[in-house]
Amino acid sequence: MQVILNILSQSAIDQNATLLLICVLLLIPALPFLWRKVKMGKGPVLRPISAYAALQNVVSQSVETGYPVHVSVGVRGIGQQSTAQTLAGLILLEHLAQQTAEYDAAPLVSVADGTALVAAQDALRRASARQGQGKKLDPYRVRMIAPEPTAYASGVMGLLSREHVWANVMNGVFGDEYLLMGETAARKDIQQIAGSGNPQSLPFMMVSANHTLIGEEMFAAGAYLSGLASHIASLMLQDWMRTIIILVIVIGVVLSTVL
Amino acid sequence: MKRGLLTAIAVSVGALVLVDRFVASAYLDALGFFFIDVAIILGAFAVILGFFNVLGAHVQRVRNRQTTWPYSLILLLFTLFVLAVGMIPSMSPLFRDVFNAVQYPLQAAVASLLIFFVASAAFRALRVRSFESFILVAVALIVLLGQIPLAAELTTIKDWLLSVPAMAGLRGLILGVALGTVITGLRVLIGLERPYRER
Repeated sequence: MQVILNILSQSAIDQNATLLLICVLLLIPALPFLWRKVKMGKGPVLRPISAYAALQNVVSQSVETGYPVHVSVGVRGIGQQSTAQTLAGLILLEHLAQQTAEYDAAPLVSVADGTALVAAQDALRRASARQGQGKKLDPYRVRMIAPEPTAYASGVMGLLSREHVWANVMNGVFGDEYLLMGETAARKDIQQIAGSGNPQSLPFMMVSANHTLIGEEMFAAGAYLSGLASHIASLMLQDWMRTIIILVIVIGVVLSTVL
Repeated sequence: MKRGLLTAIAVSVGALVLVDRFVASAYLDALGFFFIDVAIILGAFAVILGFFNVLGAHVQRVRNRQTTWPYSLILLLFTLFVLAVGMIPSMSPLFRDVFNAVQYPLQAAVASLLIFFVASAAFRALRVRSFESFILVAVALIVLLGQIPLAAELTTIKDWLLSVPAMAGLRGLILGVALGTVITGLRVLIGLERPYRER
């Protein structure tokens, strides 16, 4: 161990980031390996997640009734610490846009950040283009409400109250302000699917939404809905890493107890 | 060709910023800061796009005389007023007053509504309809009663509930989100996820 530390101290590698570097070096080859495995048909059996199963019904009901699905990708954007959660929301949005575009419809999207606005518009444009309807897309189908979470929540409350919305799908970064939107939708009997990685907003989601994506489940949209090999491989890698972490914790507990 | 180029640029910039995190080098630091600055500037331009999106959506609403068009008109007038005030240096005290006297109190007012929404949500959640909801109600009652000095045993149980099962769940949740975040970043970094271009 001391030898490794000596080598590190003589190199330009930051010693504080060594553990992170080792993790990254191990993970980079593991993901393409698992991706190839899934491509060869050796993927895992995914456990059912009620929110993703319900999403399929929500889309068909929305198309039948003609009322759109409201989608929110959270109160943050891309380029911040919570980028991954916003990306998870965008993946879900793209799937919904793809499904509704087949019936010449589009979800109603609200965002709270300029970067999320551009990305959400692009997701809708891509879904429409795949159906050959790129030019018909209303640019204001994605609405920038406000950059402040509370102001955004009050804007969405108005949107859910005034406009005929069939379902409310919220997947991304949300804080306490989620409850303002979630309860407004619950009072109007709007079906809700909500997901977040923030432990503060999850209890509110559990009580006001019909289906909840808890923590890491929000990152599984690509695997469950679109069956993307790279996303299924990600789930496998997440399970591997989780197992390693559990083993490290157990070994650590045993060693600190025995020694 | 264009798609491959986009992926190559994204992967190399991502890899470079990541390597900068691990390796202490003046050249890499300068490059890393440069790319982060570029991202910040692009983010600022996205704010301007957001501003025009708000204006465009409300202009359309006024033009089509939709049911709530007077509100949209008020929003447009105030947006242009605040923009004008903000751009004239001599009016900066007024600009500050707009935020202190209008924006912040309104935000605080909306946030204060949260308590009523919590009460309504709790009323719905605390109805015993299944075994799980029974456990939820029982735990909620113990934690609520444990806050008051009714019985020392209840406070002990409340503390245990919060520091052992609740904390274990919370840590598991945070760990899961962290793993999801790392894997998503990795997918973008090695080009398996390309949110910036067609699949």
